[in-house]
Amino acid sequence: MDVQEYIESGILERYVLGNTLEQERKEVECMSHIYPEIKVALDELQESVNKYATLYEKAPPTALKGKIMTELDELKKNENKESAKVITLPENATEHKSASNIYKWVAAASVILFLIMGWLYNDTHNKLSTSQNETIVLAEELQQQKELASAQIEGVKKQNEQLNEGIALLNNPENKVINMATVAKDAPTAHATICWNNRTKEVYIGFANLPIPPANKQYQLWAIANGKPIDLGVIDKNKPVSVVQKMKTTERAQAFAVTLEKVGGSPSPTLAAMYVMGGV
Amino acid sequence: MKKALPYSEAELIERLKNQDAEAYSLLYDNYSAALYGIINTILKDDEVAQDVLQTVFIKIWKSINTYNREKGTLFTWMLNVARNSSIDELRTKNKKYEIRSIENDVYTIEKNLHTTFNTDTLGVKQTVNKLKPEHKEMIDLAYFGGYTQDEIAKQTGMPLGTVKTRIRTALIELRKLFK
Repeated sequence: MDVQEYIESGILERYVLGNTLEQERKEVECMSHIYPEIKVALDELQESVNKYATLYEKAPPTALKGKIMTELDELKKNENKESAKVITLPENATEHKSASNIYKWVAAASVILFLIMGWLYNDTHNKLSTSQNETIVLAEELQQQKELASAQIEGVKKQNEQLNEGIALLNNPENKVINMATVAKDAPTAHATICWNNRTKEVYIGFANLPIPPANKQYQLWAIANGKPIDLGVIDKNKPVSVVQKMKTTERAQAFAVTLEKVGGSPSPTLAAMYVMGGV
Repeated sequence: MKKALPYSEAELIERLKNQDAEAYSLLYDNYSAALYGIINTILKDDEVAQDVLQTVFIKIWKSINTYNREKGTLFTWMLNVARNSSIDELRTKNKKYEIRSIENDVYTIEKNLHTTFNTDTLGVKQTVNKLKPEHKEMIDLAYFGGYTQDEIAKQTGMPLGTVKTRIRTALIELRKLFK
């Protein structure tokens, strides 16, 4: 980062004159924090502007201070009211009750107390049963979710393994990687990748993007050698095409292609139904 | 003109964050004139300016916890609150620059939108007169007018590059003024 360039870019001037966006403000403050030279330049500019602004000082009317201070005081009081957690109990000085009054009062109070306790017991009991039921229901739900999560994790693990397989194939120096591009007008984004092992001649197809085939059709892979197509097998319909699949081996190939055939494949390719192709 | 504060800026900030009434009182005594000056210069209306000053102090009170040293000095921060509130008010009310002829408040609009902000203090006139008019105009349009550099370029008919250069020069000149 050229500090001098930043200082001369004009952004500091815009900052002090209030002509920057929030994002730019944060940037300048950050730069100023990191680069002392920028801080110095910024501080100087800011000081000039502040002094200029201060030249226009004007005392507000004297009555305004009281008004403002009172309002700030109100704000403070309102805040304190809302956060008050201490509840002060009213003081009841009751020292002049006669003895009989006290007994009557105690008797009444104890009846009420029993009633309250009875109610509380019932209420608590009900609440306890309810909460026990709720707990059971929650426990069941939790179990279901755990199982679901478990299944999802398994799914992700599997996907991960498959991806890793694919990556290993691509990285294997023995494998020649051939990218097949679309040749089908109705599938402009179709593509697939072939890994062809130079030594074992094994062929893998993967990382493909092909339209979902109709129920009665299936994709088939071909190698083209000496102008003749060689059947390398059908692509498994039950797996997503992005996943790597092992196909048949071929000794020779000048190109690879995928066509859409009937389920189970055809002895020879339907050229009109070719989707992707790539030359070796 | 500014009374010395009985405590350091750091301590003042602490007290303000604690909603200490005395701290706010001192803050007002020391800075209200500077804030009111900016507000009034931008809005050119005493009554509205008083309302805005009140709003500004409330904003300071409510958002003091968002202030930190990275944003510059407390004074800078407060000036910005005052300036931003004023420009917001200006835009809301869609105020255009007015020509007034009250004794101390004379604002003149020259044909190509040079805007001069006069004040009633002799000291101010002396100092600002040392600035070249074209430089003062740039600073005033940006700072008190709230115009972006693009807007200044459009209003004055100057190329954006010229505006940028002039602003740079203006600030350099301003700095020399205060040395």
